[in-house]
Amino acid sequence: MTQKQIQKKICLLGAFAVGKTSLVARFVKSIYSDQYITTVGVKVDKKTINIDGQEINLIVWDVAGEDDLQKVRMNYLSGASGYLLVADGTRRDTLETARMLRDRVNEEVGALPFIFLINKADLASEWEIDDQAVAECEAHGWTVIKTSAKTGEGVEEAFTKLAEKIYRK
Amino acid sequence: MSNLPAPVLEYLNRLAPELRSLAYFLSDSEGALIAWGGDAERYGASNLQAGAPIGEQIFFLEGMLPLKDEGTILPFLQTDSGHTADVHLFPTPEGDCALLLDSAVQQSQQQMLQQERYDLSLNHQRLLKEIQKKEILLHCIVHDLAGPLMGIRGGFELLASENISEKGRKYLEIGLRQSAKQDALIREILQTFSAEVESLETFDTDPAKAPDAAQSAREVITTLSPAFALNQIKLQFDPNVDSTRDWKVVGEKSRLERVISNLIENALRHSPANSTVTVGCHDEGGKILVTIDDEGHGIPPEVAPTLFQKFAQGKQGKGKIGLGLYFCRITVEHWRGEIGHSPREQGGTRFWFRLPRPKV
Repeated sequence: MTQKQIQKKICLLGAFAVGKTSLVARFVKSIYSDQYITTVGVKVDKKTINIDGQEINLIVWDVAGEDDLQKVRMNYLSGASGYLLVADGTRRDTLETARMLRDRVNEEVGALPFIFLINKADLASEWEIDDQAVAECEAHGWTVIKTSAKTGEGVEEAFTKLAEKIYRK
Repeated sequence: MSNLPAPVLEYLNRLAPELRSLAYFLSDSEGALIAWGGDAERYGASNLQAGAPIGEQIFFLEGMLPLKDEGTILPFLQTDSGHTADVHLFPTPEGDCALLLDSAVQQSQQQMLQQERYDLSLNHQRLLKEIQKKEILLHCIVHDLAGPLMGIRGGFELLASENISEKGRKYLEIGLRQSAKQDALIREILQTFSAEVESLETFDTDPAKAPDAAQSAREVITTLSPAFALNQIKLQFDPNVDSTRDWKVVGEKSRLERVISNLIENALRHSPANSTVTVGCHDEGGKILVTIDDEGHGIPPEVAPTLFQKFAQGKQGKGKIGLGLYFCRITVEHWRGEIGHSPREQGGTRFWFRLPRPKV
């Protein structure tokens, strides 16, 4: 008998230009481009992964970034099973945006499984988010993964870990 | 819309599917697809089967239907087919409806504007980082210059205890004065630099250690009073301010005193003899306003816009090297306050800064 495929919706949230679209492109299509193209609204993609022998169809919602003038629309998260919270290691303020977004998700949508990604690990020498800030996040129970959409570091692990959290919940 | 005649409404009804590539999907209360129509394939929906879960067939609707509340609009949803639509989700008597209206044109317009805004913002951030790097380098250079200066001063001081001619002693005094001046300049640059670096760090103040603005002002007045007396200028704390009240503000005591001190020193430099400088505190509910009123000639309009910028000096060059007011601004802004100046009706200038009260 064929095993029934499970389908789960996940979202990527974070400040603008932290690399959310690049992370999705790396995960779904194994590609990377240095050119920054801003996302308007949301881009929906999908990829099937295997967790404990179970095929899971991940529906990935790459939501436009948060900035001073444009807030993330929380209705994009409707029906989501979890999310990846993304910050840019080279811009400390994106960590504050990530914290604030996580609070808003909790208030408006409810507590969902999430993983915190600090992207641009390939630019480690320019990082403004230091080990102490990472330790503070971990002390709050956050799972933190350093990623690089450019090199692929941590990307597969991030999506898989989130899928595991959702599946084993 | 209700006052539109039927032919107009009919025309619009014909136009909408054409211009916006309309597609719709209807699901029952269990989330199974029951009907669809319009340009569904455009959005990647093909080989649809009635009765099967809608989310499994149209993947971007996963988790969205059946509706949990009144309905919603998801603007600019781009499917993996590359097409963008505004997705309207709303209940109907037959079931929950997902209506897709193409929004590629609007998306591309918004993207153009957003891209420009974000590119500018990122460039600005990069530029700030570059400036910071250069300032750190400058700081290192200034710091290195300070080292030999200590040696020079020490040498002069030792020389002063030697038996030298009257003329030689005069030259020695000039050397000592100039090296003291240079030392003061270097200290000013280094102090401003450290405040700048701190201002770039995350804001963090402890309400338990919050300084009292009125108390700090009085302490600064006590320290600066001799300098004012020498210049025959009266320096006073506003007698109408109730000193028994709580004038606590967000910040740090020594820095707050330096802000007040810089503003009072600035007033001293621009006050005529026999005038008065008055420092006051005003309660504004959640904030405290600190004022420094002088009876000088006011600020020339050409200087006013750059007064709080780095290396800003008045035309008369009465300031030191133009870092005092800059220090005040970055410190006050770091504490989420405001700073400014305004002309006084009776003549002279009011310098002010406003700080929030600490939240207990």
